[in-house]
Amino acid sequence: MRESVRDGTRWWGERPAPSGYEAQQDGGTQGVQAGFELTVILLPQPSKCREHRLAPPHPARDSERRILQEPGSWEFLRLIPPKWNGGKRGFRDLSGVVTPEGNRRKRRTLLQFLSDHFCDMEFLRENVLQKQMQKVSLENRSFTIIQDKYGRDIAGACFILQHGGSVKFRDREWIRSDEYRRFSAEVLKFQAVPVEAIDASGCAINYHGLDNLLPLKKLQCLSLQRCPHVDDWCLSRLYLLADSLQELSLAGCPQISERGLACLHHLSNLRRLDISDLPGVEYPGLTQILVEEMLPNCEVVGTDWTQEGPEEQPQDPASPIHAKPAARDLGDPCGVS
Amino acid sequence: MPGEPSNLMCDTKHLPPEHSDVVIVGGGVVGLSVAFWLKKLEKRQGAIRVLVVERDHTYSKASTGLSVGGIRQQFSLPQNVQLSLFSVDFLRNINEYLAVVDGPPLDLQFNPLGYLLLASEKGAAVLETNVKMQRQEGAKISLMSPEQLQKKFPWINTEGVALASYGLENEGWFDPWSLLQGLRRKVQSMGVLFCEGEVTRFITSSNSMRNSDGEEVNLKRIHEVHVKMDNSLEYQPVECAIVVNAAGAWSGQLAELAGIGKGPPGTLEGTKLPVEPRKRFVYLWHCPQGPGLETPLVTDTSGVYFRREGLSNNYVGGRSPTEEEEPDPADLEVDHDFFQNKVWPHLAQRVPAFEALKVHSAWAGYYDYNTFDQNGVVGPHPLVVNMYFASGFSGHGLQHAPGVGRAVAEVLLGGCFQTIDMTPFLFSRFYLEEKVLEQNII
Repeated sequence: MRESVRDGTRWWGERPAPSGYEAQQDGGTQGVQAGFELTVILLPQPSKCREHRLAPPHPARDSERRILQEPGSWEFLRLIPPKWNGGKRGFRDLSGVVTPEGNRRKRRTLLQFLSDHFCDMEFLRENVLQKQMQKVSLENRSFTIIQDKYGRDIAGACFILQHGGSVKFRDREWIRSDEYRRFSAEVLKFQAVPVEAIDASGCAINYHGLDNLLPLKKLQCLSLQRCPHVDDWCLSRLYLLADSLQELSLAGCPQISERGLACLHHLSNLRRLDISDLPGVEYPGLTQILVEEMLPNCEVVGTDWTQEGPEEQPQDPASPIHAKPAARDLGDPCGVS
Repeated sequence: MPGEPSNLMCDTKHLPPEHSDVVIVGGGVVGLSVAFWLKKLEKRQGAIRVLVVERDHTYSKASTGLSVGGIRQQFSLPQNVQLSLFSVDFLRNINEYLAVVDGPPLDLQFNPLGYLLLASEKGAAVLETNVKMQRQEGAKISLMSPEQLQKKFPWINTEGVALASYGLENEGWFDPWSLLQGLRRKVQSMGVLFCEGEVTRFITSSNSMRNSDGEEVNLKRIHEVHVKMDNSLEYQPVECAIVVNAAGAWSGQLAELAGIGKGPPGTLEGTKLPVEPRKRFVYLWHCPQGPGLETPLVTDTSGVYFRREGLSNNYVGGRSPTEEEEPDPADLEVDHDFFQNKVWPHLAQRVPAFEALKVHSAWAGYYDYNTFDQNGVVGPHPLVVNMYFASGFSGHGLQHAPGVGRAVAEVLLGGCFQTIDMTPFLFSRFYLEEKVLEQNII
C-alpha cells in the first residue's frame, strides 16, 4: 500500500521525500547536504588543468576552453588526497572533508535540490557524470592502424604527441606537437629508430593509454609529471620497462600513493627517480627513505626528508588557496597561467 | 474515541516492504554485489525491486570487514582465475561502476604488490601446471627458482623451496570496508531497499511432479520470507519471487530453514548445503628489521601467510589450521597460543628477521567454509526452485564478489551464466558427488 502511494507520486514527475527505508541510508543525499568534500557538477569549474601544463596556455577558443575546463573539474576531484576514507571503520561516516568556497556551495545545493525533487534532473546529472568519465577513456584509445603499418615505436610516439607531450628518438632532437596538438609527419619516417625518451608531463594518459608506451623496449627516460590520471594501477604496469628504463619522474601526480611507489622495485636499472610533490603520499619523508632502501642503485629525488612535521601546503597555483584568483582569471579572454 | 492515541496508522518505518521481487539475505560484500548487478543488468530502470536483509548493521561478525583483503589470480580452477581477473578489473574501474552524483570518489587503497606462493618439492609440479593455466587465462604470473627468489627478496630463507610463483600485476590487497561502503552507497542510490532484521521462516508451497523416469519429485517454492526485527518479536512477512542466500558463514543454517537437507540421506532432498562457519585468526605484529616496502603477500609451504601493513614495519598474517586444530566457531575470541606454537615458528623459519617480533593485536573472522570442496556454491537449488546461492567461498569470497554478483544476476535474469561459466559451481554437485577442488586455499 505504501509502495503504490510512493509510485503514484512518481507519475507526476516528482520525487517523493525520502521515506522510512531511505532514512536507513547513511551517506545518502541528506547526509551529503550536511557539508561535503567535492562534487562533480554540470557547470564547469575553474580549471586546474591549466596550471598543470608545461606550456603557457594559448588564447583558447570556446570549444577548447570547455575541453580544458571539464578535465579540470574531474581533476579537482582528485587533487585532495583521499584521507577521509583511510582506516575508518564506522560505516555511518560517509561524508568527507569540507572545503568548498562560497559560490560553489550555492551552486551545488541548487542542483542537488533539483536532483532530489526531479527524476529527470538526477538522470541528467548521472548521464553527464558518465560522459565525463568516458571522455578520458576515449582519449586513451590505442593507435592500432599506425601500429600495424609503422610499428610500435611510431605508434607510441604518435600517441604521446597527440596528447601534447614530446618524444625523443635515438640520436635525434626532441619532437613536440604544437598548441593545437598537430605534429609533423616526419615522425612516420623514423621506423627503425627506437624511442629513447618520452616527456608526457601533464598528459591525460591513463591505465589503458599506457598500452601504447609499454611496448617501447628501449625507452630510457620517462617523465609522467603532473599527469592527472596516472595512479597506482599504472605504476604496477611499469615493470614491463624494467630492462631499459633509467630515469623516471612522477613529480606532482595527484593520484599516486606509496603503494604505487612500492611497485617500482621491479625497475632494477633505474638510476634516477623523482617522487617530489606527491599529494597522495601521506608521509613523504618516510616514504622516500623506504624507496631509497628498496632501490639501492637509484638516486631518489623527493622532498627534503630532514624536514619533519605536518605536510605543508603545496605552493603551486593549483592548490585550493589560489582557486579564487584562478576563477577570476577565467573571464580574461587571453587566458592567464 | 477523540483524545485517545490512534492505532489506525502504526509506525512501520523500520519494517521491510510487504512485497519485493528479490530478497537477498545477507548484506555483506557478496549480497551487495548481487544487488548491484541485478540493478545494473535489469532491462528497464526500476524493473526489479530488491530488498537486502542484514541482521547486523554494524557488521561486527561479517567476514567482509574482518578480511585481510587480498586478491589474487593464483588459483587452480580456470573459473576462479576468470572471476579474479574480472574482479580486479572492477576494482580498478571502481569509480566508474560505483559513481554516485555528489559522492566523493572511492579510494580502495589497493596495493598492487602481488602474491608470492612458495612450493616445496612435493608441490612444485602442481604449481607449475597451475601457473601455466593461469597464464592461459590472462594472468601475469612469473615462476622463480630459489636462486632468483633469493636475489629478488634477500630476506627470504629459501630452504625447502623448490619453486615460487609471483604475481606481477593485478594482484595485491585492498581495504574491504571501502568496497563495502561504496557498494552500499551505490546500491542505495539505485533504489535497493535495506532492512535490519533476521530471516526466521520461509513460507513455501510444494508441487509434486514426475520426472522422465517416472519418479515423484517434490518441487518447492518460497512464497514469503518472515523477517524478524531486532530485539523484538515483531516480524514482517515479505512476499517475494526469489530469495538469494548470501548469508556467508550462516548460509547453511539459512538453507535448513528453507527445508534443504530435510529428507533421507543419499537423496537430493536429503543433501544439505555443506557450508559452515570456520574461525580464522589474523595477527598484527611489528618487526623493526622486517622485509621492506616491496614485500608481496607471501604464502609459505607450511600454510603460513603474511603481508606488510602500512609504512612502519607492521605485518599482518596467519595460518589456516589443520582439521584437528580447528577452533570452535561459537565466538570470535582469539587464541594467542596458536600464534606462539603454530604460526611464529614457521614465520621465523622462512624469514629470519621475524625471530624478533612483537604482536600488537589480533582478531578473528569466519570463513564460509564449504566442507565438500572448498569452493563457492552459485546458482539455483534444483528442488527449492527460487532459492539462489552465493556463498561457501571458503576464504576467497571478497575477491570474487564482483564476479559472483554478476554471475548470480545473469542466471537470475537470463536463466544461464553468460560471461563466466559457473556451471561446475551449482548445488547439484553435492548430490552427484562431483568435487570441484580448489588446491590453493590460503
